Amino acid sequence: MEHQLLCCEVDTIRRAYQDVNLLNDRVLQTMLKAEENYLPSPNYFKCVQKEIVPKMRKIVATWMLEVCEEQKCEEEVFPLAMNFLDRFLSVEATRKTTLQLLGAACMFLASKMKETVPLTAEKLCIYTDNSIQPGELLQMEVLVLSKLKWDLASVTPHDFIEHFLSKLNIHHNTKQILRKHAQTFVALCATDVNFIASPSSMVAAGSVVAAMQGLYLKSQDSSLSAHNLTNFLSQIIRSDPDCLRSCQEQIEALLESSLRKAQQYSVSTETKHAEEEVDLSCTPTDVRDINI
Amino acid sequence: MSNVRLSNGSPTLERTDARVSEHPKPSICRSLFGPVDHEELKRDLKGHLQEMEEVASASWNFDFANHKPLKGGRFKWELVDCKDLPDFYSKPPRLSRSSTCTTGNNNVDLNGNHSCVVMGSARQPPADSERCESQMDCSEQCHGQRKRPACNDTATQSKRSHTSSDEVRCINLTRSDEHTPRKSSPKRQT
Repeated sequence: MEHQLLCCEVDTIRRAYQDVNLLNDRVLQTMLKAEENYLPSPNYFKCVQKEIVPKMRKIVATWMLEVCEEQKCEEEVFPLAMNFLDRFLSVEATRKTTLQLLGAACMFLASKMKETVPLTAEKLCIYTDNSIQPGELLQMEVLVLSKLKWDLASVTPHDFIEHFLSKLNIHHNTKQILRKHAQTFVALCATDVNFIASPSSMVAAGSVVAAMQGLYLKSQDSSLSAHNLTNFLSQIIRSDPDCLRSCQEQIEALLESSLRKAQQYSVSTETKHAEEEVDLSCTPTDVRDINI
Repeated sequence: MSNVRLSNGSPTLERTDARVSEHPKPSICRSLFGPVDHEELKRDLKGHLQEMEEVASASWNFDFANHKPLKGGRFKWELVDCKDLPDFYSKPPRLSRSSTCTTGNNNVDLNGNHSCVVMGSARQPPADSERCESQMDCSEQCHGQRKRPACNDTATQSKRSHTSSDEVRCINLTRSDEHTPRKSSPKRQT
């Protein structure tokens, strides 16, 4: 047996697999309680920041998503990094010229939290076109840690998605696609300022419903109709169904507007993007690429 | 609450391949908000880190910059021989990929661990000063108190000589900071 273990030492990323024992109600309830502790303040642009405006958050978020995509980070890294960024900006007035450094530091930390092989400081600095130096990044990292009170274990929408999916009676393969789409929506939401104040559970539930809608899975089983699914999930997250429905609609609107932008962009620029866009017309899987 | 986190094990299949090592796409390498004023940034960061150092100094009654205990706090500091401690406190970490930065960190990392592990995790973190007294006795028995290894001095010196070790010193600092919240709510971190 021990010899066999040695054989597993191949050159791929080693990652933990899902522990299904954790997909229970007790854990879910604790997560619902915990998520509040990690919510950024919804109006930090007005109350805390002097230089930073919503548009800049969008710019830095888009860049961060691109970096995470290109570096093939785990899906959770980007939303987690955005949570760090928002929480930092909720408590600390930041210069415009420091925002990218902050974004890099947040990715640095989120990657360390979630990945077997985390992003390096040097690489992140290259992605800023060397406008920041590794030394600065490390100092910023400590500052972020301190401002977040060293509490980096934010509950992310991804944590909830697994719970929701485990409760749905659908085929494994379908689940896989659904998960992928829902995660894409979560990333999209993380780039948008309107979702800053939304709890992770709400974003996750809205994303799952929107993904289900987008994939036209509803017809097979009446319990999976948008209406029933919304009711079901809103019960789980102890929210009003109307609230969840409006969240879902907001997500769909966001998708539509970013698709439109992406199309304009890809028509006017590269063909590579156009390819992705074709993909997108039938499924929203690649929204994230397009969004860029 | 952190114990609640699910290791998502990200079941998405596409992500299993290793990190791309080639050069980053030039279109993504960009400076978003114009040139950074490094002098200003340095000043800002230094100010913040100094503030953090003061807070840490006060809560640990220890002068981290000069590696000297301060009088009149909750803690009593004593030297220990590093030979009396488990070797993972002095062992270099597995990979030392980036030469200068990492090694700098290690040294101080080490010290940071010393200063807080001995105090913080030898026993349950003290909630009040009386408990602290008894804790001291125990930790002395177990493995004595901390003694800084030789590398310590280099860290202190280099701190003055170049910037990258500035951050190093503060990592040290906040390491201990990290343990501070444990005191009030020990459940939180584990």
